[in-house]
Amino acid sequence: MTTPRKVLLVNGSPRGRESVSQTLVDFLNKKLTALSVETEMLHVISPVHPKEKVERFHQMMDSADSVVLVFPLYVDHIPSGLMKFLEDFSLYRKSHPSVKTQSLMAVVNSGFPEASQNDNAVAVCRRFAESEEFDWLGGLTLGGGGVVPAGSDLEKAGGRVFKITKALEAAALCLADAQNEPLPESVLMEIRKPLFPHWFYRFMADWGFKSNARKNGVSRQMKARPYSV
Amino acid sequence: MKALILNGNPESQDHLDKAADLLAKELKNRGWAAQSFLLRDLDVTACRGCFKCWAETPGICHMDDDGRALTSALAQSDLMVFLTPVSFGGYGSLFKTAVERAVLPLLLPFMTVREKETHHPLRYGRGISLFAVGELPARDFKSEEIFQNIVAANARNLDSPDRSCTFIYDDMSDDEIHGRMCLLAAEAGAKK
Repeated sequence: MTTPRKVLLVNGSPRGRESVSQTLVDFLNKKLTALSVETEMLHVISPVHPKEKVERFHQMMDSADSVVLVFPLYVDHIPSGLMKFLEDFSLYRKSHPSVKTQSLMAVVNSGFPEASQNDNAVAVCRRFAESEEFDWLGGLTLGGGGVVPAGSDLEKAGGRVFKITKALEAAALCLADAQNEPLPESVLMEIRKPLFPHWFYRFMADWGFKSNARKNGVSRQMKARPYSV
Repeated sequence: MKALILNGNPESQDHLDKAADLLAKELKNRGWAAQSFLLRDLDVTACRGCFKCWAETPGICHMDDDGRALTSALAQSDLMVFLTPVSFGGYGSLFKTAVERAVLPLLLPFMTVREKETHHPLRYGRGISLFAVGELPARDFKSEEIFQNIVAANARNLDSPDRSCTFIYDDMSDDEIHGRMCLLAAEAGAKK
């Protein structure tokens, strides 16, 4: 009997369980479990963790056949907590080389409608994979992340997330395969197509923030310049 | 004209500290009012993505630590200089923590189109030029290309009128580092 493949799903969102990344992780987890893949989940919310927790992170990374980094774009890049996680692991790997073939995948979501704005973050993940000798499986880039409900069931979000669920199902199949074959280019490209026209997404995003500001009683202060001299 | 130097070197006695000092001196020689922050000495908690600085306390992060001083200094600057180790082509985590906290309150939540991409308008109505110094153990073309692309993306986000990027390596002498910082300062001076 063969040992089931083990996939570590790392949620790198500072918003933790109340995040779009968690919704994507939960969906992937469900699909992987259905494919008889053993999964573990890890939340990297901030750059600061106790030593014992960092050691546990490293053990989880070591034991995984594949690692999936799921995170939001923060200032054109990887969130600082996840970057510290990668730096710490790189240091650890210098004295603890991998004893088996491992692979890495990234799933990046951005609040901007253009999926292409995630490309630099994917490039960093790929460079990490090359540096630490993980096989690179590819990076799924999702624009307009605001349409994905945070911390909830992706399958209940309806047809508007169809392209996302299709791409994540393909990602699950890829992760379940012991050959470490990268995601097909067609999957990587399909998820980049806009879910809505960009102008409509921008309009809705503006409306959302105005609505939040109104609820908080600061509608007229939204353009405040508290640090003007 | 004000320049803000953000030194994201996590350790002392390193090339980045030398570079930051030399650059501050060269910028001052060219008439800039240069202010430096050594990020490892500051108390800056990581951004939690709560967006309160957009829709609850506009322009001010709800976390009351040194992150607010960074935003305030940036809001009043014409030029920001990023100095950071390069981690897998990206910014080092110490530096990234500071940038996330400093930048978000500088932006408005609304969306606009700039260079055919969606970005946020600037809260203070003007862009800030962006210069960056990345530190690497040795020449690494792949990582340098990623770093340059990230700096360019940040510059688009912040509507920077000018941007420039250079690298320093472990085997560089003090004179070589000085030379690179002189060139960077000259770019700033020439465009002042």
